Amino acid sequence: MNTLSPIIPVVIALAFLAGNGVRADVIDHYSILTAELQEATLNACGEKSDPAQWSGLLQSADHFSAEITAPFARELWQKVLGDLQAAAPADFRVQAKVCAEMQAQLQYICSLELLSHQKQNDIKGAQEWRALITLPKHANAIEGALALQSQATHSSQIQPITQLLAQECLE
Amino acid sequence: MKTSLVPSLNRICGVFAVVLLFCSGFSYGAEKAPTASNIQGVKDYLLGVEAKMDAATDDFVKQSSEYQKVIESYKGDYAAALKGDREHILKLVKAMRDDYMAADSFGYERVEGIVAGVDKLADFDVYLDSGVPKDKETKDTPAAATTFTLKNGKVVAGEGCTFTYLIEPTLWGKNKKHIVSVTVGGDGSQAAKDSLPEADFIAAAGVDMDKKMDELVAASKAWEPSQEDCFNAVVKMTPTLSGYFDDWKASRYDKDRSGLFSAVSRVSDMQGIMQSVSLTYHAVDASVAAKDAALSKTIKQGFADIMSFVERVGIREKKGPLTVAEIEELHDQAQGKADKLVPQVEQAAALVGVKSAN
Repeated sequence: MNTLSPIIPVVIALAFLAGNGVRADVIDHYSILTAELQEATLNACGEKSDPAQWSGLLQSADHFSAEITAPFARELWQKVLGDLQAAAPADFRVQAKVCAEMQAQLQYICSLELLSHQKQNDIKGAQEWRALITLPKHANAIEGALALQSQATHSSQIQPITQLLAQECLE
Repeated sequence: MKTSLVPSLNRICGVFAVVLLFCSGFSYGAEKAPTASNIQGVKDYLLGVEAKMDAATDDFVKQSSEYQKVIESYKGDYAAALKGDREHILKLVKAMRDDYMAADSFGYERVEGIVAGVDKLADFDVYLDSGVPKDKETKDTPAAATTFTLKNGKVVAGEGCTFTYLIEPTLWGKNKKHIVSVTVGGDGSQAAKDSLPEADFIAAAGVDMDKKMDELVAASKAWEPSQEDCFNAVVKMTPTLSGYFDDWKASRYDKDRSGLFSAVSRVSDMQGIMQSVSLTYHAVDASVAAKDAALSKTIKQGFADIMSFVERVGIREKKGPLTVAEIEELHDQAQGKADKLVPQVEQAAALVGVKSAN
């Protein structure tokens, strides 16, 4: 298996960074991690072994760890990381399962981080984490975006906005 | 949390160069992506591509007319024509294929996100590229109004749109209704191995395509683009990614191949279409970034991710047949990327005060 193809998404993501200020933030790390995760899932589905790609996934997951600050999110992420590190590279079924679980847990972790930053009135941080979430199909995403923006000038509204955003993630 | 990338940039640039070299075998991977920094840029890009398409359809009319004359000179006996004038005929069919690809594969597909996405231009998409035959019409898939008359007075109507259902499958030997079975041989790179296009049909289809192209150019020149047009086009066209993916799957991997999309892989089309959608978003991004930098960045990365994803589909395809599980996973990933981007673009539209019509 050619080992160049899996790094393409990573290289493109990094090239994108280079054009935007050469410092990686949570959006960049998430983007790189999900690109690696999707590539690993495809390899598992195609029963194609690519140790270099799997190693890239572990590395990007490790980089992403540093972004997580909410206690419960950190706890969840440690479990995900443990499963990822324990998966044997040649066992495609386990790899596929671990990748699918990681994808799902990532969304949960992003939601927890969103709420954590929003509750601390860190609007920018909350916006960054919210941008990573794939909201449920019929959620009213527009209301949440506008509410978060309005929190900058109405900090007394933190609690109702927390409820709105939490509901948005679960709807 | 911020991580410095500076120490690794030199290495990355080196790797990036290697990757580009590796990808250079794909015609759809080698070109620099076009950009538009404002809504006028979208129109400029559209008119630039259409000028090349128009030149290609003009030439198609010349080549198909010449082909028709050669076949007529043999009184419609294709086998005799092939025997007596083989090189000339193959050259003309090849020229028509090249013109077709310039007009559609490397022309229209690169502006489809705009033409099909902008309400004032969308009818051209149905006529030229997406309209199905009358008997396949559904609520979500309109029939093409494509109609023209052959030299013998016979009317062609209800057979689907110009590019996908009429010209391409005829030139690549898949449209049984409008090809003439004849042993051509060769490697199939100039013409199908066992058929030639029906001359009167391909000539009339070419004239009609050229006429429609002129109308599209005129409508595009008259179009006054707005932010609303751009947001609506992005919201309308981004979800089509998974549909194009289904087309690719059917054309390449289904047991009974669809017979459509023979000229180039649908992967190339996906890249062209999504490139034009991405360009349309970038034209309105500055106003979004001013309101929510994170949302702006994620949407732009979402489009970069889609382009990278399409590229990877091409690379995987080139390595050999994909497993069913891989194809299904690719489909799910395509769907997931579109499902995530569309609500984000709708949020972006709301933040800048544009009401999405979709």
